[in-house]
Amino acid sequence: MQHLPDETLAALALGEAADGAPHLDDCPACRSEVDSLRSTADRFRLADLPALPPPAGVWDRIAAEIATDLPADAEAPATAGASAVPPALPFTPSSGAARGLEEGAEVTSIDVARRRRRRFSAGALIAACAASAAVAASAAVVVVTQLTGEPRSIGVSEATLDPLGELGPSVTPARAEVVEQDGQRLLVVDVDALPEVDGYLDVWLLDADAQQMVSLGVMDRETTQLALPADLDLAAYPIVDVSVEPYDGDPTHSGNSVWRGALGG
Amino acid sequence: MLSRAFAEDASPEVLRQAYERWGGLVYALACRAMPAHDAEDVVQQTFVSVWRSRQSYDPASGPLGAWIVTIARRRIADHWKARSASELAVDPETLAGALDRGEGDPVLDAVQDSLTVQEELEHIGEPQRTIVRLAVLEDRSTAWIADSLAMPVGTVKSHLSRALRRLRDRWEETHAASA
Ligand SMILES: [Zn+2]
Repeated sequence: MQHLPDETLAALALGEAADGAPHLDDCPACRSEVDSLRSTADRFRLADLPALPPPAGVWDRIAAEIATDLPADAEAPATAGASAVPPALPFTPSSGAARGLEEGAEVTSIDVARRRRRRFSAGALIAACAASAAVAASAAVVVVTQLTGEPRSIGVSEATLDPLGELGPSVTPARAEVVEQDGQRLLVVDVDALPEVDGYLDVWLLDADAQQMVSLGVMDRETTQLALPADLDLAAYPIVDVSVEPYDGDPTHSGNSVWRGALGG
Repeated sequence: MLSRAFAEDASPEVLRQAYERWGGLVYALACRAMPAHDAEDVVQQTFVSVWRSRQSYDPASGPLGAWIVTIARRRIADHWKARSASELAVDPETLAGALDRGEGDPVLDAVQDSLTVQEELEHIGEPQRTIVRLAVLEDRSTAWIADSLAMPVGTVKSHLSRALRRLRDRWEETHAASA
């Protein structure tokens, strides 16, 4: 028996009168194909949804958030929302404060400075954006002033980081310490050996509920020093976390942690 | 065209155009999964992720709209993961587990079909997309569609047949993958 062509089966599934209809009475195979295409069409109808314009203001928040990624001398976003974009962070190649910081402090790189604001939750980010001009300006002044003094390193807070997760059994406990150098707070993470990972290791600070987190940067050596954002309240982000992040372009925490511990006095 | 512009030179202006084209779709998908207030955050997170992942977008692997829907899918999943974490993970040790368990949420499952359909519609391209929408969602006859698109009836039927099968296969794949 000759089966019906695909096109006829689809037409029958959509309720079009087609020449092949009588064949269905005799052929379970074609009948079940029509049924299956019909339920696909039904499911399609149920799953379809019309586009819904997002409320005004959503684009402005997106524009403000991506503006924190852009260097100050890059082309400014030429959009309606861009007028709400706050001034860029002070630690940019064109900023005198950034050059002074680079020469005076060994470990702060522009990349770290730009990167470090990236991963607040949406709410924290909006607040950070609104306040960034004022906060950033005062931070820059403090840095420049203190650079003229003697470099000093003062222990502020430390933590033992316990191994956890899949890689936990293969690593030994790590240490983290917050130090102050040239007016800049740094988190120093010390491990006995770096584990082999599929991706890279990323250092985070989490709040106590693990609801908000901020990425400090990549851990690629046994002693890694990372700059802390000037306006970050350590009491609000007391947990140090090191995660394995795949190279997938996804900026959020992978959920795959290797070490974690709480900072204490 | 927007796909190529985004791949070659993703400026904030190109991102804004992508937002105008697909922001409403992402918002509708997110609203199906959560209250409108949270859905706004998901739209914001999706387009910020789109921006930050722009270098990993490869137009050869699919159109920009499909890629954006895929990212929206992950941000919606993150929303549910975060919810589990707040309920379960005061002890940070349990965070990783809570993040993992975010998968398979029943409400999220209900959104999967919509995501799959939108992703697939973005993939199949024109004229299949218009044809399948007219035939299935607006219940137009193949003769009517052929007439309004100035296309032979046979061509319309064959596009329709391929689009329907493609959707069906895709659903079967996602089921096989989650089973
Ligand atoms: Zn048959």
